[in-house]
Amino acid sequence: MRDVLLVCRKELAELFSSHAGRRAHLLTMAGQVGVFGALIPYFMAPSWLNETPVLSFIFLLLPLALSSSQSAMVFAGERERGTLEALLATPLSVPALFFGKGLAVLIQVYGIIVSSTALSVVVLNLWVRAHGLGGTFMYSGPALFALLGLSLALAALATSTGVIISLRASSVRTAQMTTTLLSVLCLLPLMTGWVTIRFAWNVVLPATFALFAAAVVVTGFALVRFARAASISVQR
Amino acid sequence: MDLMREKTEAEKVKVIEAKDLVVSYGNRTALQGVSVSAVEGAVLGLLGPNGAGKSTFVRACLGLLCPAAGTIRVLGLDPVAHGERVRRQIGFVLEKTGLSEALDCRANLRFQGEVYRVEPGRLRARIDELLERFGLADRARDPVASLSKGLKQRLALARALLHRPKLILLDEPTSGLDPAAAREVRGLIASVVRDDATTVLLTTHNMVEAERLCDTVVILCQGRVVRQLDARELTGVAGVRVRCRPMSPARAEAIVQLTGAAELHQTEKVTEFVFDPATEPEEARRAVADGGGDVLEVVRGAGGLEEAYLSATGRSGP
Repeated sequence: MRDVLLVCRKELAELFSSHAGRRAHLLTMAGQVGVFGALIPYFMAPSWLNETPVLSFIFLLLPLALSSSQSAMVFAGERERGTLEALLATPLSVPALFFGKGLAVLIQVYGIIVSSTALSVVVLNLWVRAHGLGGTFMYSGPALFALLGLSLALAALATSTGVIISLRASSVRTAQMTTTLLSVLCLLPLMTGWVTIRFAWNVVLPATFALFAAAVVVTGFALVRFARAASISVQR
Repeated sequence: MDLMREKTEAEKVKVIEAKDLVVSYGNRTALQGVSVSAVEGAVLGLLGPNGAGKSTFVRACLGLLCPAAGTIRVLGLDPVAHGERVRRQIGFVLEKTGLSEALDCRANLRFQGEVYRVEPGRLRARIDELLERFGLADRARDPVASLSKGLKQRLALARALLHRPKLILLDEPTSGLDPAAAREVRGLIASVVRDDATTVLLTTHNMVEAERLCDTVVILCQGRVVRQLDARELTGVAGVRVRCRPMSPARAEAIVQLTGAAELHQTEKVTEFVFDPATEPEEARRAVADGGGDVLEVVRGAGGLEEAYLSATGRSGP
C-alpha cells in the first residue's frame, strides 16, 4: 500500500509540478467543474431540481469521459516515453505501479465529480432564490448516492477500461480518441432516450454494486494486461 | 595480522555470477551460454557491438528477464525469484534513464529515495550531498525537461547512488552524449568507482571508456563471450606502442633493456614495443630508434584493446 501511495503521489506531483503544467492543469480542471457544476445546472435548473434523466446523463458522462481519457494518457504516455522499464527496474512491484497510477487518475476525476456536485448545489440554490421559489435545494438520497457512489464505481470501471485501451493503442492520441468514442457509444442509449435512469434506491443501489463488480473484474484483467505489456516493454 | 590482510581474488565475494546463461526474446536467443562474474569492488565492463547482448545481460541482472537455461546470481540471490530484494541493493542507469521530465532534480531524487526506503531524516542530506557532488546544486529546482542530456545523465548517476547500492549497473551511460559531456560523465563514473568502492557493471561501445574504467572487460559478440581481459591484460594493452620492421629477438631484447619497454611482441611482419601509458609517444619513438629499431608507427591509447576487440569479434569496429 505504501508503494501504491508513493506512485500515486508522484503521478499527481508530475501533473502539478511545473509552473506552466500546473496552471494549464488547474485551468482545465476548473473549466470542467465550472461547466458541470455551474453552467449546465444553471441553464437546466428545472431538470436538475426535478432530478430528471438529464441529470443522470450528465453525471454518467463526467466519470466515463474523464477517467478513460486520463488513464489512457497516463499509461500510454509511459509506454510512449519508454520510461516503464526504468520503473520496473526499481523495487516497485507491477501491481504497485498499476494501482498507484490508477489511483492518481481516480483521485483527479473523483475530485472533479465531488467539486461539481458541491458547486451544483450552491448554483441551484442561487437559482431557486433568484426565481423566488423559496426553500433550500438538496439532492434526494438516491440522487446523491448516485452522484457520489455510482460515479465512483463508474470512474473505477472507466479507468481500468482506459488502461486496457491504452495498452493496445499505438499512441496517447489514438488511445484518447478510442476512449472518447467508447464513452459516446456507452451513453448513446441515454442520449437517445432508449434508456432512462430513475433516481430511486431500487435502481441506484443495484446499479452501483453491479458497476463495482464490473470494475473489479475489468481491473483484474487490466492488471494482467499491464503486467504482460510491462514484460514486453522490457523485451523490446 | 591475518585479519588485516587484503582479500585475495579467490576470497572476494562474487556480486554477479552467471553460468552458461541463456536468455531469449521469443525465438531469438540474445545470450547464448554466457559465463561472467564480477567480484565485489571491481568494475566489470561488457564491450560489444549493437545486438551483442549487453543490455540483455543488465536486464537479466535486474531480474527483468527470465533465463531460458543456465543460472545467474546477483548478490548471492536469484534475481528473478528474489527480484525485489535484489533490486533494492542495485543502482542503475539504463539507456532510457526513466527520470521524470516534469519533476525537478530534487523531486526525482526524493522519489528515488522513498522507493528505496532511505530513512527520511537522512534523505535530504544525501540529496544535497549528491546534487553538490554531481554539479547540479544550482539546477536542483529546475525541471528535468530543461536539462541538457549530459546533465540528465549526471542526475541519473546521482539517482543510482542515492541509496548507497552494493552494485551499480550502467548501461551505455555516455551513449548519445557529445564528447565533452561524455568525458564529464566518464570522470564522474571514475569518481564513483574510486570513492564509493561499489561493484560496477558497465556496458559500453567505447573502448577508451572500457580501458579507463574497468578492471575486467568481457567482449560479447552475438550473445557469446568471445574474449575476457583482466586488469593486467588491460593495463598491458593500454600503453604506447612502437611498431618496427622485424628484427632478431636478441636485438629486440636489447632495445627492451635499453628503453625500459614494458612488453615486447614479435611476429613475422612486425616487432612491437609497448610502453607505459604515461610515456610520451615521441619519447618512446626516439628511444626505440636510438636503440636501432626501424620505426614504422607509434600508436597510443586504445589501440591494444581495439585490436583485441577486432580479433575477437572479427569486425571492423564496434
